[in-house]
Amino acid sequence: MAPKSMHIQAMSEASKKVDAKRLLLLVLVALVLSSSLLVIVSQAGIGVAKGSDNVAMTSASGVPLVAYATNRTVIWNNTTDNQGLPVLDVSANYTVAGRFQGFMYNFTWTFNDSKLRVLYGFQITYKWTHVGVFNVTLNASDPSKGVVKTAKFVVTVIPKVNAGSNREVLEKTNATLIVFNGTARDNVGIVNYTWSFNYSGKQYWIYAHDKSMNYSTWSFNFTRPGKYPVVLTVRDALGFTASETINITIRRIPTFFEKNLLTLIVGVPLLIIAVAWVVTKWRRDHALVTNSDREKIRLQLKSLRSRARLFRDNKLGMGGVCVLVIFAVMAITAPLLATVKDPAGTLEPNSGTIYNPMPPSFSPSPVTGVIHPFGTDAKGQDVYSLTLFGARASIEVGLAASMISIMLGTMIGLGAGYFGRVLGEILMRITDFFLVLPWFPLMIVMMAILGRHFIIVIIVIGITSWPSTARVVRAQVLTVKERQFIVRARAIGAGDGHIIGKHILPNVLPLIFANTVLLIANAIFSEAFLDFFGLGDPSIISWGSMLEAAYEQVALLRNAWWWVAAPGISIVAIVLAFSLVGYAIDDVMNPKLRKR
Amino acid sequence: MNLKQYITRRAIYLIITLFAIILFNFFLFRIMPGDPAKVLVPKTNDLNLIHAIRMKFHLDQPLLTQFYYYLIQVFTGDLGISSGVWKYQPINRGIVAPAINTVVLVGLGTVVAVWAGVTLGRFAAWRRGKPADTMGMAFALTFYSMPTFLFALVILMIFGGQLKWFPLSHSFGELPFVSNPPSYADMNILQKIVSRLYHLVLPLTAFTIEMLAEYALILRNSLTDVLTEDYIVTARAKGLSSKQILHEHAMPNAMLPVVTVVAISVGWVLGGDIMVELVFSYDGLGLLTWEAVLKRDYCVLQALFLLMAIAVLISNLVADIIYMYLDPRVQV
Repeated sequence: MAPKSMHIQAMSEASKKVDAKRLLLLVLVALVLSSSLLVIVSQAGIGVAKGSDNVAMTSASGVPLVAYATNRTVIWNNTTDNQGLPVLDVSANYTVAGRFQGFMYNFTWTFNDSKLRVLYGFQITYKWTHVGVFNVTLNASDPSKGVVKTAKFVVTVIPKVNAGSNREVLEKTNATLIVFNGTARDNVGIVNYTWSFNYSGKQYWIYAHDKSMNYSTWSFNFTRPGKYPVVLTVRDALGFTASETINITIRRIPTFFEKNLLTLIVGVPLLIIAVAWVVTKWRRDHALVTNSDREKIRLQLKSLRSRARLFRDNKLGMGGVCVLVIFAVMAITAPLLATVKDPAGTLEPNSGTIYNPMPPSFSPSPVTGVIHPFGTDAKGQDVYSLTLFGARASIEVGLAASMISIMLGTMIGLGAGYFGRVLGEILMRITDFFLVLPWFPLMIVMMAILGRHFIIVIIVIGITSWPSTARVVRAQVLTVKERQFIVRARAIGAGDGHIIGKHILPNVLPLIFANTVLLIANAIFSEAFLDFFGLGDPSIISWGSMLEAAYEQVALLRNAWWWVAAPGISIVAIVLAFSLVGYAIDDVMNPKLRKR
Repeated sequence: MNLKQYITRRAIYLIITLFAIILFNFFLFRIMPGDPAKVLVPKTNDLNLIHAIRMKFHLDQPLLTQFYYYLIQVFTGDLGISSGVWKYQPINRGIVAPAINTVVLVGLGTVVAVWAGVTLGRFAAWRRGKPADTMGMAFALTFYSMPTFLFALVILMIFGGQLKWFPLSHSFGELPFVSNPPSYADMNILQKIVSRLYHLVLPLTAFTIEMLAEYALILRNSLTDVLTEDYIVTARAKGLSSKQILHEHAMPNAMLPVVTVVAISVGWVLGGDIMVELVFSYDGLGLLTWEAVLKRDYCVLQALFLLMAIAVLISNLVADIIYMYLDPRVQV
């Protein structure tokens, strides 16, 4: 080792004076100061542009009273407009109206709907019973100052139309013959239904020239898979039109290859390795099991047994194993344990006394007769069954993605560590480069480009998580490479392939094994993350997508804690279990840690 | 190898990695589907306009020439023009506000997390095997195993939604104890700072606790390791007090792995706090990434990738320097 330079001595002197704690405090103070400085800087001009959009209505701070309301389209016989807002209010922007001290002022709304009507208040609920175009005058007055402001706007009332529900069916079944049943109503009567959609490159228009018959009901056979938006446009006797779009999705039947892709990815390499091993073994020894093999296995079993004893003594690790076994049983026997066979398809309807999401209960539901031990979500799906089936996605992703990253990482780590010099340097630069890449954004971008398929989720997670494995493997290879038995093997003429396969790999394997378990936990995390942000495969039931639905439909504001708790606790438990098992294996494999 | 050589070598690696990142960044967004000119003006059939855009951004030139122009652009500090997030505005102008928001969140969060994580880890390691250790590690392990977005979601729903103590979204606008705050432009400086801090509380909590758990676990492991070393026994034999052993002999060595992890995660979290920013709609770089993906704004994504990668490189360099400071043995 080179002698210490002056610089380093000076540094070590300094490190004695300032201990780690004081250094930390220093950094803390500096960062707090700098970030508060940044807050001051940031408010000086940069952030203002975004915040200024709701100035107009502010009255408390002396801004003059403004009467402001927007033109809007309202559906006949509805109390809200076509965006779900009250038919009349002082602002289209709800939050502004809520924050605005509307009650201090008087608002009068005047319009003529078959007779003159005058309504008061800053937010009005009114049911329009006639289609047409209505001119509304809004008068806003401030009694304390005697100011009156006027605004005029137009409300258009259009017919109420319902094109039916979205449908999603599997290709080549009887269900592809879709029956459309549209309804529309208003006070003057609907004269025309027009349906339009695009199918196999052709635009279809379904409508009747004759007034006496109307295509409110018709059917069409969608044989080709795809997503078809169907637009229903209705026209009433006065010429007012309204339209609604429904989506018809025809799912493709997955091919054998698609259905078994996971099995193939995992199984084919294993099969090739097994066949190669048997063939080489047979050619060398002319027997599959020789006496020396038996002795070797006996010794290995012996050491394995002592290690298993050590592992059993590790209570946390055993706890983790138990949890993992429970999850594995859950995943495998999900169809048997679940109360609902098809959790994504079977719904508990909202009817009478039932209102989804329903709290957990052990009494069967009065409508479907299904027990919902973990309650239901807003769509009426059974949370218990969803959680069971979600375990499958998590475990599949965990195993397959970590397999990909282990293979990549081991190959690159072995190469970099063993061949050293130029190749090693290049491989390590590549690893460093991938380590530096921001992998969450990269994952998002890749999912956005490649599409939302389960297999792509796995591949993306696999190829973004290998660099840490490569580094760990390389470090271990570097220490193993210098050992005596490697030098001896090389001296008797063993090739690189033999040394790597027979001497280095077995010594690196325990480390890889401990790493795998931690990688699985990480992959489960990443999958949940992708699903939560709507980038996962929508046709797969997973805990991440359950949480996404709960977040989208504000589960906790509706007090539906069970909806978040079941998938949330499952993710935490499975990741915790994998981590504990990983640490325990690390403990067993690494004797130095054991004396702690 | 002496210090000078070491630093030269690190610098060369840094430059190589930076160059690789720029190269990757350039080609990743070139192989994406779609004509870049069409992305900039999606709804036009005006061939003259498209041609003018292609000329202006050198899209008619061969790929290598384009790369040359991109290099010049990067090194003159020009991040390009946004196509979706800020319509046709230079990215340099728009990215400042979210960058500051993220730096404040990540900076404050990391400082608090390192401080609290180190304290918790040290506390647990020193009382190894005692109930305090078990409690501390149970806490750390639980939060380590919990996805950040789940924890963020739960505290948002409880403290923002149910109890209404904190605002639900954005990084400024509302004030505590004021039901009808003035608009942000009308606030005085104190109110602006209070408003920003008020919005920062929940994201910061979520971010800090998730990071803290990881740091505490690592420090606890490395410290228990260090405490079994022979020189600790020697120090004890010399008659040093427990405090001296912990602070002067054990901690500097145990801090090394923490420094590595902090360096890696500080670089990553610029992108990784995307979870926190998305759940809280906090206008930072993470939310910007998300918006850029949704609006297919490849120019902004390219700029963000570059910034994040540079952040990781810099934090790794800082980690190397701190390493040398903490451990004078590190020479190569």
